[in-house]
Amino acid sequence: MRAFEGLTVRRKLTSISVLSSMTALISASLVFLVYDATTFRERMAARLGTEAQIISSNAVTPLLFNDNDAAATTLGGLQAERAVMAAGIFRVGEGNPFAVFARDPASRASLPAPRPDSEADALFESGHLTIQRAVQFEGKTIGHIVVRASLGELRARQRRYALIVLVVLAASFLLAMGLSRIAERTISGPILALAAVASEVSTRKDYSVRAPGQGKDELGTLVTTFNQMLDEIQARNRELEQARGDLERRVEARTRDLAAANKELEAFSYSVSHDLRAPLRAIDGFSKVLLSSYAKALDDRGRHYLDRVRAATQRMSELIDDLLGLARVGRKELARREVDVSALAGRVAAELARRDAERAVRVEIAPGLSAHADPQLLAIVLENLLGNAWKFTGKAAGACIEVGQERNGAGGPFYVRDNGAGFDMAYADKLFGAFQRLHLDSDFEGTGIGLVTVQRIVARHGGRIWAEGAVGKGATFRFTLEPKE
Amino acid sequence: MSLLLAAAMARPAAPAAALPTDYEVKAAYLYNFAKFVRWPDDAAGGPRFVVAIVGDDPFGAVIDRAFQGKTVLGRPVEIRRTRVVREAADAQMAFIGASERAHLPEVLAALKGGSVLTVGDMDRFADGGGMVGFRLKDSTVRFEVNLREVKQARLQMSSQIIRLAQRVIEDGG
Repeated sequence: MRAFEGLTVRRKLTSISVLSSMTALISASLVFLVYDATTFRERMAARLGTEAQIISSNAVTPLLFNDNDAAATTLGGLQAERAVMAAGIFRVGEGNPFAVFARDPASRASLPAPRPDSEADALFESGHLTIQRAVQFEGKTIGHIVVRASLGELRARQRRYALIVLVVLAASFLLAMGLSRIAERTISGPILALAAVASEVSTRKDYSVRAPGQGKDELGTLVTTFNQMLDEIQARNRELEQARGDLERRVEARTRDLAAANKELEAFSYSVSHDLRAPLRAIDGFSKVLLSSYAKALDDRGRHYLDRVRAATQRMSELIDDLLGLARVGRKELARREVDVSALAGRVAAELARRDAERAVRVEIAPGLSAHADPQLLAIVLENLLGNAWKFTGKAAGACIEVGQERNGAGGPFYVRDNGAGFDMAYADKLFGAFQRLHLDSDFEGTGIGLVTVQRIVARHGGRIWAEGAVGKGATFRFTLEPKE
Repeated sequence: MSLLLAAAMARPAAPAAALPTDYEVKAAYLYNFAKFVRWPDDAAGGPRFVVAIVGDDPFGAVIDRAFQGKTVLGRPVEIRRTRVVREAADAQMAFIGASERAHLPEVLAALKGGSVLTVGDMDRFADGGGMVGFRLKDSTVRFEVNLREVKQARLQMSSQIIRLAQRVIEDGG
């Protein structure tokens, strides 16, 4: 049974039809064989019984008149009966036959003596039929006829019959195979087609295929239902596709809107910053004129206020410069090439030292650093990061700034580390927001634009920037300039 | 006859009777003949079935024993011994002994016209106008049949008997 379960539907159907037809045929053949054998025996017993009866009536006078020759002649009629091997006429009570017919000497020896009690009987035993009839005269038994016949004919007949059955079995086997092929077209055909379609659907995710066939039986229903299921899936898929398309279009539209708004905002802030410069220059210029030409007309307090005005304009000018720089960073085309980061950092550090010659800051720059980046923008990054480090180490003793690359130059993030004021990691996310400042202006002055600019440059390179630090223990800024693979 | 033979063989204590004598056999045959012959109705009307022994009686008590307690045509059997053939004319069966050989034609002529089955204990009995003639063949008792005479006497003899005859003289000749 396990072997049967492993077969394909096609094989199963064929096996079932062949097995059932073979079983029916074999059982019918067996029943008929038994029936035929029984009938044959009955007919044989009846025929030989009749013959024996005739002989027994013809044997009366030979027995009465003691005529062995006539008795033998009477028995000679059995010659035509091919199954009869031997026959004998016995006087009542005698074991030796009065007359004998035998087909050959061996058969003669096999002739049994009559059973004294029996008037008429037929006995089948070991391939032989023994018929006995009484010879009667005047109502008394005067002798017996014993006929011994061979069942060889039955054997031969059964052999022939078995041969015919085998031939018929073989022919039926072939016929059943042929018929099951036809049945296959109506049963296993649709199933196989359905299986093929199902596997195509599951492997190629193609829901547009349909199973063929529309019978009115359960298979037809199965195929129809399967196809309806595919219709359903396809419809769902179309809806999903449509919904996704809608979503994409909406996202695109939003993105476009956002980009436009962003551009507009940038253009706006650029033009605002730009336009702010002219009045600022006027304030700066005229306050300068006031200080130089009308210094005497002012008292100390007036000059002090005027100095404050001038400082404020200076600071505002820086702010505007930074904002314009930020805007420029957003507009400028990226022009990447190999940049000697170590040299660039060295130049930035030297400039810082020149501007603030009173401070003694140890700057350690790892040699041989290089990056594939826009040199102008990278310079802005380093200026801001080193500038910050310089600035926030202002109150530290033994200020030290390190520039290097993680993983020893093997494509790791660059870092700028200082041992300055540091910051509280709780506010780390505010570091890169515009105008967000973690320190009082009185402690460390700044515009709050620098790190925003740095982050935008890094982002434009496809990189990332992040910071670590603790209050009073310095800060480390790390950045990459390539998109992560 | 068979019973007789069987009885004879069943008596091994009497060696003299171990094998039946010719006349014991012939007596038994007479009974058997009676069983296989049919007489016309008018010839079988008497109260007894009469077997006449014409001439010298070769049987003695043997024949009485052979018919003892038996019936033919449903009648008891009478054994009638006679030397006058006319006394046999109303018998159903006449055994003509060897002593009558010399004047056989007269004997047969006397029985002609009736329905008497004639059985002769002599050679060429059937050729001489008798119906059934005993003869010995290889020391076995056999018989010949003159069917023409049988039919003239309006007797019907069973083919079972005719089949066993050593010689059958047919109608034509």
